[in-house]
Amino acid sequence: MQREHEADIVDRARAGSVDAFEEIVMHYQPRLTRYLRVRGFSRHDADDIVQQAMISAWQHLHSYNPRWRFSTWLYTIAQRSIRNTADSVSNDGDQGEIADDRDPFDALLTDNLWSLARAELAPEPFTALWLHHGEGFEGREIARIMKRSHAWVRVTLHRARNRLKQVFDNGDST
Amino acid sequence: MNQSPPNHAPRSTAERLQRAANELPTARDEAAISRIMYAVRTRPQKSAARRLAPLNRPAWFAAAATAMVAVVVLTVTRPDAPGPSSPGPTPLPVRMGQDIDPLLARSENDLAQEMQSIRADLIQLSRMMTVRLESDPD
Repeated sequence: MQREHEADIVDRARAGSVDAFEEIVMHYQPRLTRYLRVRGFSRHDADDIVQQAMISAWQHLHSYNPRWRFSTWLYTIAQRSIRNTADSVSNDGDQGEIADDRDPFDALLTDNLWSLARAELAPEPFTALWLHHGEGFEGREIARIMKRSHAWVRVTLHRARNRLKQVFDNGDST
Repeated sequence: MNQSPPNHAPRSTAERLQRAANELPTARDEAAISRIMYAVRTRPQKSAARRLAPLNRPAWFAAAATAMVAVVVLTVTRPDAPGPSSPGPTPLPVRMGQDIDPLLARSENDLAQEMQSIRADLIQLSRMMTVRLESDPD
């Protein structure tokens, strides 16, 4: 979605247009779902968290600061939704099985480099790594989403990539 | 002679991660979207109420201002009634008294004197009843 177009849609949604917000949901729901699935949430849990994040976004649209990209704000809310539901969701940070309901996405993820990354990295470095390479966020945006400092993000990304490089060099699993 | 690496051989860890991320699909779940939209449509948006707030501001502001003036007036013009051992009506605080309208101050003094007079009448009536009760034979 073009940034100008997105800004226009967000403005309309803030003015109370449900149709505009629906366009936001249609655009971001798949990305957020994938973000959660990669992190290890089941399909059901991911859907619940995305739904909660979207509702929260709708209710707090007035507090959105256009200084940041809308996606940064939305992922920050999603991150908060994950924390809020951490007690009821069993798979957050779990390095074991990907999900209980096997579907084509699980098969793709199992054979993907990111499954190796998740097995090798702690939850937070993995999240930072995905937000950067999987979602295209910059360091400052990741820092905002994860409530960390920019320096922490840079160091974490650097160490995570080095760790994976060692793994790749020792035995390529792809 | 420069030879760029073939496309199927990513040069860095970052590129490999980027490529692997692109391989993962973004699952589109229409049912989930429908659920979200239903929830959104059935819940009020706080921002809407916030936008309506300025329209009601004059009434709200007038009510708040009236309440504030009432509190100030009561605080200034209705001091606590003097106790039995008090020498008289409580004088106005000097700092406050300098700021209030002279007419208001005069009204306050009149009210205090009237209260003092009523109190004196009540005390007198009480004494008269006591004397009468004590003088009545059983």
